[in-house]
Amino acid sequence: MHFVQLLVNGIVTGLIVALPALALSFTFAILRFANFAIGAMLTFGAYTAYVLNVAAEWPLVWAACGSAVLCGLVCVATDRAVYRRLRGRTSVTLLVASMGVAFFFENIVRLVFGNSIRGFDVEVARPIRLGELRVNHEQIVTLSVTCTALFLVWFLLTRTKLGRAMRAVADDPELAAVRGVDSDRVIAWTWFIVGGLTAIAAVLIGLDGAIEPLMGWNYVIIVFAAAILGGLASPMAAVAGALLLGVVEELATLALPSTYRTGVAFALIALLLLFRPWGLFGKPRVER
Amino acid sequence: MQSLQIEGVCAGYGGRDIIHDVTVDVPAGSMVCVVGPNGSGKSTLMKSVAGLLPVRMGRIAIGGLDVTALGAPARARARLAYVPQERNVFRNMSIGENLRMGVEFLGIAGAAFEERVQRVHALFPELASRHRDQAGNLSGGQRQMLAFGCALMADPAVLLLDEPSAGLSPKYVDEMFEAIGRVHRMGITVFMIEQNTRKGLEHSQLGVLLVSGQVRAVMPAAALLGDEQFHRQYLGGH
Repeated sequence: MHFVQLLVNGIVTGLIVALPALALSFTFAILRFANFAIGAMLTFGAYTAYVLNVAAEWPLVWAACGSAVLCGLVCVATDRAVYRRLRGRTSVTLLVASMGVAFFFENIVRLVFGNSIRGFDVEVARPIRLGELRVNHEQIVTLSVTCTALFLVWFLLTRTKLGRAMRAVADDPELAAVRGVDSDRVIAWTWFIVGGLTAIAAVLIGLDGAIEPLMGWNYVIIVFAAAILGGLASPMAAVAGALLLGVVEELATLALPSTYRTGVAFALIALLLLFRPWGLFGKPRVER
Repeated sequence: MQSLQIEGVCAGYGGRDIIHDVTVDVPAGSMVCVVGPNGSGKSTLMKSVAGLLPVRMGRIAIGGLDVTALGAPARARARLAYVPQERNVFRNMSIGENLRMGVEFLGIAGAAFEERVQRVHALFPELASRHRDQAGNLSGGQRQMLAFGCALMADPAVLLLDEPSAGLSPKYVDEMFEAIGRVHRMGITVFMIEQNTRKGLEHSQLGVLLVSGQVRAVMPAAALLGDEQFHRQYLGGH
């Protein structure tokens, strides 16, 4: 039973990371750079939802939706202000720019809210017991919200015109232009979706832990790890990477003190990437 | 049928022109082939006509409509189709999706779409059975066919071909030119650049010789093929 409990916890931990990892690999696939600002966007999303939830007294669901839309728009605006001007530069230039963006948003949050720890206005609920298995209310919320979001993203990518345009631009921007795809529009939509996914994940992280200016930072490495493990350029594989990471971390506590669990997960990643540099679940992309 | 006019076009990369004052008049319904040694600027010319490379000076018009200021997507909507030499299919998408991408962003769907898929399949039966396969797994020849098919999906008025025979085995080269001929007879204006000078000119009405980014000669393709001096310099004396 202990094993099942750890498995459930691991899956939920993984799912929390899945959305930002997905967002990260989106920007990587379409814009070809590692968006270092993902952590700061998480923080920003959580505080936006906090303001809507606590100050404006919206129910958390609506606050999360509002934050998703606002963060989507902020991402689109950031693209216009920063990344768009650097289009065509090397991915390192863009990476460095995204670090700047990260500092900017993080310090806006600090300036307005200070360093104190905050929480959403939600009622504390008892965990649900299924035999010996304990499932938190937040875990159920996380599970259903991420699964819905993931399904929507999958549907978007494979079944819609916008999704095909996104994949086309990811595959070959020049050819996409020749086929009539307006890449500026596709990029703007990509940023909107990235912002939305990040904000939703931020609310889940805030529910799971606390809201503070460094909350996003703490997730940067694990989010990158999940995306790389899945295969950076294949968005849905990032989800698998995140899940695996979460489960391994939790199961590692069976054999080792829990302080080492992140270490075990990263050792596993290092090992896997030695044999499959394109990621565990991604297929080697056809580049010839 | 529509014509393609290239008038006094200068274009290049990083502020340095590669093609200088290029003027080519492609009459409606004709097939015109640009030949020339490596590095003569054929690809640069093609990219500027397709809208992927901004033109520094000059004018490009499709059937009298000035498209100089338009980017590649807008030119595609003006019924200009372009088949790049390499990187000409979406490798991580299926063949069916590739064909769909040929029309989806030009505003064609429904019955017209199915009909056009049938037309492409009739032209290249090899593609019909592999609708779900990933395009990146196709052989070079099949890929070229798919790229050609995708361009045809858009029902273009003017078709740009960037070295249609590049990297193809002799069997595929003949098949390719056969297909180009059939498409041309449907009334599509064809403008191509070709490394395989003989094949390209044999199938065209007009030949353009481009050397060091400048047009050296424009004459009937047969005449260019028969020109002694041209032969000696560019066909290696055969």
